[in-house]
Amino acid sequence: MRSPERLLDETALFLHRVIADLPASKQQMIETLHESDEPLNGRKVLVVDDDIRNIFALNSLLERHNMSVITATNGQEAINLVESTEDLSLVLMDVMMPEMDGYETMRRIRSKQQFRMLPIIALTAKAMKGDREKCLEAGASDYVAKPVNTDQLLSLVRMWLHR
Amino acid sequence: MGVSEKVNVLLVDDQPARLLTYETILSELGQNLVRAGSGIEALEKLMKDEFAVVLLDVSMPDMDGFEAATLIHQHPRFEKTPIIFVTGVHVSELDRLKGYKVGAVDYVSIPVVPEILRSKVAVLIELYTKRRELQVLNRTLADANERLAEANTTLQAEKTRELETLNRVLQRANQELESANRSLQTEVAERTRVELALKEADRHKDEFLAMLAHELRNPLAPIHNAVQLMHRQSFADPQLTWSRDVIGRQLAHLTRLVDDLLDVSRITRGKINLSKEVIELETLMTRTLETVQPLLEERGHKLTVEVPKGILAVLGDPTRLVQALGNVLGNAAKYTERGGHITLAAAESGAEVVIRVRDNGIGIPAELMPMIFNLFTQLDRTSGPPQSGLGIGLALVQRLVEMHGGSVSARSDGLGKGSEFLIRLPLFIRETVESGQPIQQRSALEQSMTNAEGPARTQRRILVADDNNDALESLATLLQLSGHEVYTAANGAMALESAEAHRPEVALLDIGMPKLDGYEVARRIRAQPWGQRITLVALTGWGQDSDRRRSQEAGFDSHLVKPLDLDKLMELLAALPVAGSSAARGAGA
Repeated sequence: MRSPERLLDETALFLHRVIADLPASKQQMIETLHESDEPLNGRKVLVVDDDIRNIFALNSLLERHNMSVITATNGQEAINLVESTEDLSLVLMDVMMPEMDGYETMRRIRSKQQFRMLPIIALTAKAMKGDREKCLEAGASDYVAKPVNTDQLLSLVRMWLHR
Repeated sequence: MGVSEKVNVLLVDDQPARLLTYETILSELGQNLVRAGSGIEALEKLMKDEFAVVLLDVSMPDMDGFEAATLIHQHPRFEKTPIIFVTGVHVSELDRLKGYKVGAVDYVSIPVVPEILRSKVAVLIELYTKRRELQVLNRTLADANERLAEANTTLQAEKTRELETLNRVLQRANQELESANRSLQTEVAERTRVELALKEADRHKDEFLAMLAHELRNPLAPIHNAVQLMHRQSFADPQLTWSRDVIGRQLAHLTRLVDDLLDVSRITRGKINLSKEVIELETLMTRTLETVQPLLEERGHKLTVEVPKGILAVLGDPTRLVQALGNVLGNAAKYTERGGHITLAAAESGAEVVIRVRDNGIGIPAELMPMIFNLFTQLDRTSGPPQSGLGIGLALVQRLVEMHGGSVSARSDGLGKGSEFLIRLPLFIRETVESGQPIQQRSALEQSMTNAEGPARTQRRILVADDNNDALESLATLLQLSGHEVYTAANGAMALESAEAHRPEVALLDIGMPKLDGYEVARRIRAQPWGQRITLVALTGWGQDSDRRRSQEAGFDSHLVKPLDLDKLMELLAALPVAGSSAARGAGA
């Protein structure tokens, strides 16, 4: 289920290189197409991180792309918001949090039938193989390594919201 | 700015005493003052609310003012939010510069001067408020624009729908018109076809009438000749004399009927040509009276003639005008009981002459009046007197008069009240005579026929050729009785032989002979040396100018129309030069 997305990711990276060789006008056309905010417009996203700096930075990024952002600084707060927010479209989950960490939070969210399909993108500080697998095992739809590359994050968000 | 529209001011400092100071200084601005004890807390507050101004302490633990300001200004909602930095006394110029770089708009130094801080914050709030008002206004305008665009779209859609409906209606109307047009065209085509068929039928009818008249005319000629012949004899039995006169009168009547029929058909087909000349009205009346005299006499009518004073002349074909006037007079005689009174009068009336024919006869019923000049209209035979006719007389009169630029009208007070016919013709010449001629009054009975033929003054040698034996014999006998030497030929070939053998002075040749017709005989005679001096006279039923031209071209000297007018023939023979006559006689002897 995840491998097609990864493949698309790789393809996107490959295409980006090719696009760089294109004339400026064509590049802009493709960029406009690829970076369209249409899938993001007005969608509600929950940002979970214990670090307000990170939350504020993600909030800045996502609001700039016309998303509606709610925030939680711990797992329990996140679970509460997921359950109480009806029009939630996506969750960005930092895995490294005190008390209840991201894995646990994701597992708890996924344990509820109605949130099986909710897109959750995990933010992990360690770009290690085991960590990624642990994320996916815990129920993450996808993951992004910290420090976050904003373009990569946005294209992932677009992809998940586009489905 | 009202209380309900308070704005938020964020006060950020790690020292509660300073926060209290700020609140004290700014409280009189009447805005919402929100406290944050650290940069992190400031970020938390910012994510939850809007802020007009941020008062930010530069030196704070963990996250200092510069870092907080950098983050704040990265956020789309707070890019333009003014930040006032609060700095300690020993802030360096470098720090100041760094502050401006991350988006500070101003600095206040500690210790804070209340008025300065208050006025700075107040100005920034004012700016924020104005901007927000502008944004609201902008949104309102944008909304209005959107509604307008929407209304426009709706309107256009409605217009388009209306136009489409109109278009459909027009198309349907168009289709109906086209179909109506097609059926009309079909109808017109049908009418045109019927009209053509009618015209064709009418033409056939005219041709038939012309042929009928012509064919009727042919047997009249020998009968006429025979009657003329009978006049030369005196019968012992008075019944025979009476019979001969009856035949003569009825023949004249029949001839007139046939002539009228022929003329009507000619006029209808536009085949009549007028030989116009200046003719005096009195002459016209006299000549007309001569033609109707026998009928007036027979019916014992009294005739009153009123001729105009002076000389009045019209331009016209005398024969045709006599014919027209004769018809009107003939009708008056016919439709008036025996011993009636008929008036013929002529007078000048402006640029016209008016010839009036009045009788005290049976009159014309009002309902018939509009139709009397139509072809084949007649008085009801059951109510009228036992008079015959084809109902062409008045139609012919009207057409002849109209051909002369005149008009004819009738009036009658009804059945039994008599009739009056007015013929109007354009006046051509008028010459007033001092002493007007007295009105002539004479009874028809006083007039006598002057048909009796005197003996021939000069004896001629005459060849008569006709394939109709009766016509040939009767004419030959008449000429012999008049003292001429006559040779006869029953066809063209015999005529040629006889002409060569006898060298006559005059040859009377029927045109319509089979095989060798009159034209050809004339041409062949003229081709001979001896044929130059012979007087060639054509005898034919056809009397048109074109017929006369044709006979003239064939070599004829004269053209006589059947039934032969014996007077005319006699005049013609008498007028032949004596020298030519003696020469011819010498050649024939």
